Amino acid sequence: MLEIKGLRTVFPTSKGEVVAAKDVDLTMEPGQIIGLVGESGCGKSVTMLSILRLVPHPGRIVSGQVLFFGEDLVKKSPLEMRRIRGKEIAMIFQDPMTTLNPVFKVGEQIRESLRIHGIMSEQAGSWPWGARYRLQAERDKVIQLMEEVGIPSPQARYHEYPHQFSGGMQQRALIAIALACEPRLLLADEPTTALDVTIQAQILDLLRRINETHGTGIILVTHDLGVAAEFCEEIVVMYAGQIVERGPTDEVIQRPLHPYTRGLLRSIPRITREKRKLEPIPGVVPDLANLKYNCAFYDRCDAALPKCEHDELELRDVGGGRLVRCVLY
Amino acid sequence: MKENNAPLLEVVDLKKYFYIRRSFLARTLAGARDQVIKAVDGVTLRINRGETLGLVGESGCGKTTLGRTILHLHRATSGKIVFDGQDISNPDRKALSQYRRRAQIVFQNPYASLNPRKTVRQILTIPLRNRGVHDRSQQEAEIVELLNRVGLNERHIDSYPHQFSGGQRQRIGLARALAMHPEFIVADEPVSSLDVSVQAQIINLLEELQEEFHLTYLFIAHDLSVIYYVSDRVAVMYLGHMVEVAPTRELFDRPLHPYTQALLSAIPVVDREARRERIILEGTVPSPIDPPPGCRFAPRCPQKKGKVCEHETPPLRDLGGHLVACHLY
Repeated sequence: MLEIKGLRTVFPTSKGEVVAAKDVDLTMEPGQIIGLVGESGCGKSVTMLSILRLVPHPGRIVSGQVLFFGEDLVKKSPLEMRRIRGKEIAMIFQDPMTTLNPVFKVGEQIRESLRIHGIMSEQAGSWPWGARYRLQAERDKVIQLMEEVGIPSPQARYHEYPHQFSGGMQQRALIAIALACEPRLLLADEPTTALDVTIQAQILDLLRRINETHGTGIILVTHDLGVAAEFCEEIVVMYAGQIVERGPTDEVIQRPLHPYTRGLLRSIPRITREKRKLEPIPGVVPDLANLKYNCAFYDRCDAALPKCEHDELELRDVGGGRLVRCVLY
Repeated sequence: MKENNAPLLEVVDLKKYFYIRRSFLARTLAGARDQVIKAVDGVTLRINRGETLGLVGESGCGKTTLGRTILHLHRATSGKIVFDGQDISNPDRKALSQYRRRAQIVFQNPYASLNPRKTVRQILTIPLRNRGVHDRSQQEAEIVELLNRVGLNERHIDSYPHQFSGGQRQRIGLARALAMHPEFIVADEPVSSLDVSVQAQIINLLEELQEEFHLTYLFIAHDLSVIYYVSDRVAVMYLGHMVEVAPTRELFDRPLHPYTQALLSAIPVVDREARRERIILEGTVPSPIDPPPGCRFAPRCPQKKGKVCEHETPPLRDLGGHLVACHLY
């Protein structure tokens, strides 16, 4: 369904060009749930924004392809992209409070997506009666959507404003907007980070149900390995703008290959029988404008070899559906 | 593993209410009423010397307010606070400054809790002066020692907060608390704004410092994996009430309160064997303005017994070291 090839997104800065997404390759089947994990600044969000061509100025995509059902989104005109955003590919952002417009009713904001993409116009027929029927059809559909995402008493809530919704309800409203046109791909950028754990459980449960009933493919961006481990079929780990490892969830969690993934798993507190001391990854994330080594993880790596400094690195297939970018494999 | 004699801090029936006063006009013309937010509503708690008590709960449950009220950063509405055998519920100036010397706080947001216009030297000099260290060279020596102890380089002594990363700022916050040679530290979500690899560094540092300076922690967090890792005992709060207090292992193995059970089941965990049957709670946390009578959790409780839950507030009962406030027990 989705195939990203050699995607490179850069941001010019005073310190030089920052490559925020560096030769990202990612393929995805319809209906799959993929988790994109990594620390802040590793390029997860930029990759998502690049798919939708929403990289904020002055950032730009310099090379690569984003094939969505065989069509290259990078080459599309702005108008064609507008037809795809929200209809074929929808996105949910991290902070629902800032994503919703505070001065419009929640119901109207959900309806906007239906209106723009003209979802209800076929059923409504032609002018002069069409417009009214369409409005009614759209409102009915919004209420049905609100019900589906678990907003109680949707009839009344349609006319409420975002500030009258709790954080969890706002996130549900955003999911309703994203689902309005039944997209085939849903990009969820940290959808539960701003929420409490019990609400997070509700939202993840909802997303899973959507995946099962509509067959919507989901890319979940998260920094929480626990969320990724429970929710996703496959995990993609990013570091300094590059994908460093990819594989089926259980495999990656139980037998991480890349030293960075291993380090991450050793540094999180886990609820297990015996208490193990946390082992933080030494050093800090490198400055992306000034990468010294070919492998961005070289100076923090506990398994570094002399050849790591210069050797060309590529995302290698090591069998069992696993890919890793490291000279050790 | 840690000494377990007389309690260092005892809190009895502590209440902190916030009042929202309405104007005369609003009351007479619009019929508005003064409102009471019961942020902390009758909490009884004991913290033993040398232990780490983890305090968990969802946002708005009053955990931060409790931490601050204990330190007299908020004036308690009623209740008793006993620190090291001394009643400090209504301290005079001298007693309060004595108390603040022995009890310190580390704040959640390292970006907001350091004055951006002051250098590290200035930030750390204030507590030293309060402790009676006035000699310049001695101040400098102590600051250098503190910086080294929290893992910062002494050449940073004249840098400003914006020159540091989030993890480094949290280290400065920690150094500031340590400068007073405290016995008790309230750590209010000290790692929640940090990336996982940095989070591990700070958690390890906190544990080392505890060992070295015989500190007692009240560790406030919403991340249950972190709480599991650092705490000797865990206290669970819900809407201003303490619902369960137990030794960490006991609480995670045998949670008694239905809320604790739901909370624990909602944590996404990396390890498959640590997963529990998920209990998805309906709805969200009610507002602490005019909270429901009886058990605060009753409206969402999946194991509600009946009328008694709605009318009577369950007391915190001791079941052999495991305290729970629920009518089921």
